[in-house]
Amino acid sequence: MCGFGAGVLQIVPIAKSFGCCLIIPFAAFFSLVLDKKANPTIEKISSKKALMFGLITGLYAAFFGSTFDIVITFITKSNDLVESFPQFQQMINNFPFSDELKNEVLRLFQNVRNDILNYGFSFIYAFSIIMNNLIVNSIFGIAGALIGAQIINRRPES
Amino acid sequence: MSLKYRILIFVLILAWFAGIFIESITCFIPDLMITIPIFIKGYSLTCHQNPQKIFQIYCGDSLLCARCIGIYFGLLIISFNNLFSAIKKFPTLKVLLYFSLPMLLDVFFTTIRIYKYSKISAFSSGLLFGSVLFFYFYKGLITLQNELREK
Repeated sequence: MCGFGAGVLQIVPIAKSFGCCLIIPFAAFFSLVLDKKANPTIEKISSKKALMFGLITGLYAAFFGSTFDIVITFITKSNDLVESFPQFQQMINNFPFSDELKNEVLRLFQNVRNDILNYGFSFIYAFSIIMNNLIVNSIFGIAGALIGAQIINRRPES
Repeated sequence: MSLKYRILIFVLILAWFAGIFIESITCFIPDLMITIPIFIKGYSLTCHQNPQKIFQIYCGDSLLCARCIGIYFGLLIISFNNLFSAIKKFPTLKVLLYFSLPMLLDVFFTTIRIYKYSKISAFSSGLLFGSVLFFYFYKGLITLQNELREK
């Protein structure tokens, strides 16, 4: 549930800017809190359990976040990459490199952009989104859960 | 925790930190140019990347805002220090609260516009928070390692 919530929040622009890097770690922490409430015990939360909760929350958030991103891209035939392409083009042109290299990079991203504009789907984009979400969300989930477990374990009621 | 694990933690944090400046690094390694959009998208998961709040270094912009860079720089500094003298004493959770207060207050005051956003204050308050955060993260890893050893 926490992973799903975090995955959704990652897509919502306002929530995304507000939550920043706290969405996934907080979701992992919240998953531990919910587990503690669902299974009341005087035992402290082990780091192994925290690791698993953080990892699972991160993976769920990555799964739902990626799915929503890909589906929204498919429906709207637009996304951040398409919208920011002119700025990206400008940035590439500002680099002090050969025109050949610049054109090669721009051609690749032009193809991705065209795929999204025409079909609403690009394999390269989808793959990079999934990989990014899997890696970043898992790490942030684990970090949030490991720190969160210490906070929960120090509470007097536990 | 043995030195090899401490080195591994430092290298991972360093790699993450270096990624923030991929645009600037690209100025020296042109082949990395192709990875920039992927990095931008990846780091966008952890930061709003507001153009007014990012640093410009050499020919490129940072991929995270000043506050986030401060947090990760804090983590990097303490993890670097941890290579030479391993952390043995860990602060209480109150310390985390105290060190996060400047950051929270800075966010609050700039949001309600009591004073204008400053990259320096955002970076410094993030640095304070990040440097203390490492202790808790590291403690969590030590506990995890001990639990795995016991089994």
